[in-house]
Amino acid sequence: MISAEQNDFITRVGPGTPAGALLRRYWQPIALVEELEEKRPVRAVRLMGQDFVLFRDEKGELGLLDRDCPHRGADLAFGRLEDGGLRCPFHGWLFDVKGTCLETPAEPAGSKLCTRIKQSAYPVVEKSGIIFAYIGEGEPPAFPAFDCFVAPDTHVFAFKGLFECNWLQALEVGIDPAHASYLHRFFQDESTEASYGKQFRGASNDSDMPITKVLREFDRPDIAVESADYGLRLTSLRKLSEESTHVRVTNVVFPQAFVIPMSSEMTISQWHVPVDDTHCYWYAIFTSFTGPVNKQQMRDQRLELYELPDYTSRKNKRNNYGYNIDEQLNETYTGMGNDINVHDQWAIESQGPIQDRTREHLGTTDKGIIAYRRLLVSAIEATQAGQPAPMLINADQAAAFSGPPSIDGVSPSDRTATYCKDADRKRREQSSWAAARLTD
Amino acid sequence: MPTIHFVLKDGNTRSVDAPIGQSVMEAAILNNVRGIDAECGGCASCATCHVYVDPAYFERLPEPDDMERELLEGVAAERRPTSRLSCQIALVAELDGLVIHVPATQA
Repeated sequence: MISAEQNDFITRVGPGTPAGALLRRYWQPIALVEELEEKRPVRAVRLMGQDFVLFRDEKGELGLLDRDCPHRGADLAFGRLEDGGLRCPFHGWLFDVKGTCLETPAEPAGSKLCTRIKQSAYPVVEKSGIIFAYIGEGEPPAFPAFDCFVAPDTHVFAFKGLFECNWLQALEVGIDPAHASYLHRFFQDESTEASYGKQFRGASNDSDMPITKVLREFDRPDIAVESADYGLRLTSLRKLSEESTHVRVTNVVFPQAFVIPMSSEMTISQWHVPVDDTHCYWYAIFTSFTGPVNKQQMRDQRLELYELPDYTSRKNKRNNYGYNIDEQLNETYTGMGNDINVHDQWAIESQGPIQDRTREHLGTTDKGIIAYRRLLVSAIEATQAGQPAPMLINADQAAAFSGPPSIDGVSPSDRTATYCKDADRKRREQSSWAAARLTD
Repeated sequence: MPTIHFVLKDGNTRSVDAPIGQSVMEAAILNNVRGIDAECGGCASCATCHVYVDPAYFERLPEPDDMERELLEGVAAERRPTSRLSCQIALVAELDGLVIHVPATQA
């Protein structure tokens, strides 16, 4: 429970807001690489209440500019991609990826107007299928050498989807280990053979027990939250018997991502990125520790729910998320189908456009959320005071990061303390690309 | 409406008028008084709305129940004889002028 003022303080991220100032100190996902693979590689994008145009010029260089033409404010997202840049259709002004004005063709011959015009441009980089942008001041931080950024392109797959609510409540579902036993409960287990690319449908590591069965039958996890150099590590233990305990380790990467296990072979690194205060995109990188990812299959699975070009969910509040009474009675906890993304989407969108946290009552299982909010508030206050914040790292520091280990498996009950480390090590040793980074 | 004076960590005082029946915790949260976290929202399952009640008012309060007493064992800041959970103090007319000291930390 927090005051209305404090709720605004941690949720609102438009230009000039305290939390917006914090999030602008980090690289933010702004599009999938696949969004610029169409015939005309130009996209209007919105990030934290600001509008931009993202494009790839004829040489393949990426550019991110303010969306309003500096001449008279027309929309550059409808620009002509030609002559080494993006040309405004209103009067033909031409800008390159750095925002330099190359031509103002209607002006008299010999005009110097162009030399005095500069459109704001922002750094963009491609990483593992996602285009990241930096819209803050000064130099951006380095990218930590996490698995999702160092795995070869063949072993990563990226996707995204829109949530019609504030980014923080979306993040707060991902760092809540208790909800999976309820929100994502399936009354029957599918064959784990058919689980490829689906979260929770595989068998837990070192066992033949489907994760769905673990979650359903052991619904009172013992949760521990620890600080980590990248944010927080959450360990959830579900005691299966005297001999064996289910261990699930998930991570919060400050400021807005989590890294969690999807199956024994893949992890999910997921950002919750504010479009504005009442919409956000989830961006995920799926990282395989075994063979190459079957990108076509992963993409096709997700396109069953998400509609292009804006990656909007076909199941949403306007059709009650596909809610079906008989299904809720007999098959799933929510009655909203088998795709767990829909369950999460319902949970967080139903909290309202911006959850009113003056009306909440947090319990013991919410300790990850509490710990994260403390980190967030202290980083926002540090930013206001001109102080450092977590994960604003340089290249040397970035190289020292790895993982973070994210494991879902069954451990001997007397070895849960070391299970994550051991299982993560084993997975790396057997992985072509991850083995190369092991130091001892 | 009774007035509550919150003495903050930095020594400043915030005075808040709150309706009878509201808890001291609710009055603090609704008025954005910093230093009272109240994570559980008043269902007596955390101890993050811990406060020190000024001795002049302490004796006027009903005794803490078992649940509150147990949670007071685990407060993050120093436990004092005047320690209470502010979610368990309901405002009555006799508490007008109540002075509440906010502890150094709740975590």
